[in-house]
Amino acid sequence: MRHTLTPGHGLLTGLAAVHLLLVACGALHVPFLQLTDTVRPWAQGYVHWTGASSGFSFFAPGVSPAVRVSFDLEGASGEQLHDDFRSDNSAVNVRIHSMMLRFGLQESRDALARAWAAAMFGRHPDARAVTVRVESLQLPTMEAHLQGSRPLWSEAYRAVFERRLPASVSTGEVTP
Amino acid sequence: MSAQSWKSSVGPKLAAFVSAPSSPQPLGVFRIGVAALLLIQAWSLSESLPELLGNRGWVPWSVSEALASPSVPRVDAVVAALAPLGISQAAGIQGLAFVYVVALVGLLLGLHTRLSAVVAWVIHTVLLNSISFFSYGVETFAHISLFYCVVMPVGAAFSLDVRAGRLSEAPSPLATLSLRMLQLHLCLIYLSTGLEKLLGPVWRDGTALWEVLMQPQYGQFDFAWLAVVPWMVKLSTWGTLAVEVGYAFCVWPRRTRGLWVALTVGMHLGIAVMMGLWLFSGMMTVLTFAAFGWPLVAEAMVTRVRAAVLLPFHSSSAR
Repeated sequence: MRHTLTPGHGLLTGLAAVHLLLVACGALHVPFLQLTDTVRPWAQGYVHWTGASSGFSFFAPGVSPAVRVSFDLEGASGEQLHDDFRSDNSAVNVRIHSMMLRFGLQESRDALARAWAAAMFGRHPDARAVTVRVESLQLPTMEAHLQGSRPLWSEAYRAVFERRLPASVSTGEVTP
Repeated sequence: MSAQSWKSSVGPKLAAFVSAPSSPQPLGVFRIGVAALLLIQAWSLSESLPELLGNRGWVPWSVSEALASPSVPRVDAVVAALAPLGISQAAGIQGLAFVYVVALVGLLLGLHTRLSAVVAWVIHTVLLNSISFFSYGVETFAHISLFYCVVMPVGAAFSLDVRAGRLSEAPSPLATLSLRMLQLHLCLIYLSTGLEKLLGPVWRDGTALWEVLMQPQYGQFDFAWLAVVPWMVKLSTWGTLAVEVGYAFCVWPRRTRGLWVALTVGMHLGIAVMMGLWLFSGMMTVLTFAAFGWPLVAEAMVTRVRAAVLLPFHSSSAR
């Protein structure tokens, strides 16, 4: 049976082809070429709303090292507590892990650490100081593992925060 | 072959590829699968909304703004718009989530499908732009899928809209074009992720899965024993590459389609069991099954039903 494109269906096919071209640009990390300043914001708006700019670099080209965040808290009378973000809900844990991986963004690090410290102060109202520790996992090769090497957590970031006192004394300190 | 003869032989095939009327059933399967998974996701995250979306959550709005798109509003804009009505931040976020869930239920059932899809897509886009720090693969595919639910005739099969006579489930050229778009998009996804993996030394030397499975947040079991059988790690790593890069080429021919759908679904089942990424794997399975698997299943079911109906007649005539 012979099929011919109607003008309407031809137009839709053309739009679909343009959409898939944008998808290919996003997937292959090719920036928009030769777009004028007037058109670029519209194109960016379109790809953000439709997801056409999405990249699919899952564990590619390399596997990012695991990151773990933990908190050492000092209570009102000097007692030490340890806490982390781990949840009983695996769906939430996946998101927490995504958040930790983005700690690699230099410009957001201190702000993230401050927000996490605030979350810990909220969870432990009696704590007067919290140390935020971010560690990354150094994994041995399979050969090294057979010879006795084991995964090793190494500290990548540390910041100490003290609770703001009710008076106007502010002692928030960041020591990365 | 001259340009004229090429045009006359390939042109009609291309036209048939995108316009020969086909059943909208794969799109119905796609809609139901996506909506069901997103409802499960919404339920699983419902108790953590303040931490994920609130300004006093794990990532304050001023920080999450760094990864947000300026073209898409964020939750803070919605909360600010609702504030003059006396609606608090928490109530605004809960209200947005509630409308999102209602829209997903509408999408699942195929009730006023287009409207439900538009509402779910808009809210999902706003939520996604607000939780950029927490998002991972499943969000990417949910976003793409909801946009396709808006523009494709996904309500034309297995829906209350069809039952109520608002939509027809007759084969249509639009259903074909939509299915082709979904299929080609999936090929682009698997090809690009496979090729990008090929650029990485750990994928080429076959040790990538060791690095993935030994990470505490992914490894659902203790995989240290894999060091004793490195060939198994290499086989799995290179197998993953073969399935992903081969997808775009092997999922089209009839002879290899069923095998590639099975291999892809198997790979995602492995990701779910071994890495605990159930929603991501579910989403990818839905996409491949709807785009390439359902037509095979539907065909097999029709053949089986026909055989069951015709067999008694053949048997009696043979007697």
